[in-house]
Amino acid sequence: MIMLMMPLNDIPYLFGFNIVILALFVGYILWVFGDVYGLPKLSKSPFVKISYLSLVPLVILICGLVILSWSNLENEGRGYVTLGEIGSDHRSDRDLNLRGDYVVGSLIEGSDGNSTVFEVTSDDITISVITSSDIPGRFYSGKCNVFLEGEFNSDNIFWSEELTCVPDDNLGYLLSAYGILWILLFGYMIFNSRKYRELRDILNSCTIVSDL
Amino acid sequence: MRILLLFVVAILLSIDMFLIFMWAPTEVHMGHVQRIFYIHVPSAWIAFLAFGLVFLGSIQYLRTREQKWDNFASASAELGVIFTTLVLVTGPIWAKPVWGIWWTWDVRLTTTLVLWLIYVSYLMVRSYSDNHYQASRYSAVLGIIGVINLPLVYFAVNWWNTQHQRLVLGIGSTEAGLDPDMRTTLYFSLLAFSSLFVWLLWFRVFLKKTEDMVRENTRLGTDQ
Repeated sequence: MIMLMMPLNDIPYLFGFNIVILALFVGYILWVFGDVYGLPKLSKSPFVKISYLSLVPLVILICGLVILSWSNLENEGRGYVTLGEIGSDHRSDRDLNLRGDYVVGSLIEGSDGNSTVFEVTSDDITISVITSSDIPGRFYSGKCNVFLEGEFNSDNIFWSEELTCVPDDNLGYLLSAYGILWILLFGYMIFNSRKYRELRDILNSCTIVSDL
Repeated sequence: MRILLLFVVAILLSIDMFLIFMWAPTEVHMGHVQRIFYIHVPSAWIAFLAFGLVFLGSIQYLRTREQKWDNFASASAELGVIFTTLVLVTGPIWAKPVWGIWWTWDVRLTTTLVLWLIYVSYLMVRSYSDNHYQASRYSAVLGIIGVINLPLVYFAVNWWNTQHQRLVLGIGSTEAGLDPDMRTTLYFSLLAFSSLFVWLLWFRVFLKKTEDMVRENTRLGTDQ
């Protein structure tokens, strides 16, 4: 599973990070404002609360693992890689290579700059495709279409892999931006939850006073 | 129904995250950091939308003096602050690796900062006044006057030579150069963020109604 995710330049990890935070966000809302939604009140035990909070990410994690397991098929066949989405004006200075720790099969035809045909002989279908330019130290990124044909669970598997080999990926900046999105949303909901608890307590005490 | 809306928002945001990180192509020159675009632009859209609602709510409040319009406008203003802050923070985070600077006194950036200041002023007017009704009136006036800034923010990139990217969608935009997959992801992000905004707005208005109930109960208690 980890092998399947490794060559994807850490972007899937950022996706996973955001999904887990989103799940925690929804879990927090349901936990704090459960009575607004007519949900039963939770026990005050921290164990129950932690279990509840971890439930949503757990469900999503299980779904993710199921999807990843499903995609890790027993594969045998051949396929080809096409540089489809990169502008034609840049294509001439690129070479297409299959590279990485988990390269699938072996190249059976050389690249003509547009496509590379390869043979799949492994169970893993992870493919790492790198486009390189003639500018030293600078790799270009783009979108690459990968086609596989052969004995797969489906007749023709297609997926697009985003490519980037730019040394300064700036993933830290990307993580910061999305982190701040969640910090602001969580901060706002925490502010609301405090306000809500305060109002609920006042309303409860008003009801008690009027009953007296 | 309420819980359904929350789950719809959660599902839309999950799909949006998938599109942003796993489906949208990586920009050739900027690399992965360009994916900030998919939260930066929708946040800016929500900042505009929220101020439009503040404007409408303020007009309606001054016309009818019904509390629900004031609640609506002030809830929109709070969310406007959140999303304008997001624009002002994600913008520099994106600018640093691409432009090489965190901030420049470019017209688009400056007018967006002014928008944020108007939002904050709107909320400060409300919080610093002892009289609730007076605060509502003053903030409604500010909500109406402040809308003048919106076209300045929006058209700044077309009216002046700015360092900021020109409009990629909406009136006066040139969509050339935006990859179709990127455009699809952007449109989906706009949908997901709009649904999040609608949910947050509904929730905040609900809390404000509860606040009104408490105020009413407290006033009745004091009268008795």
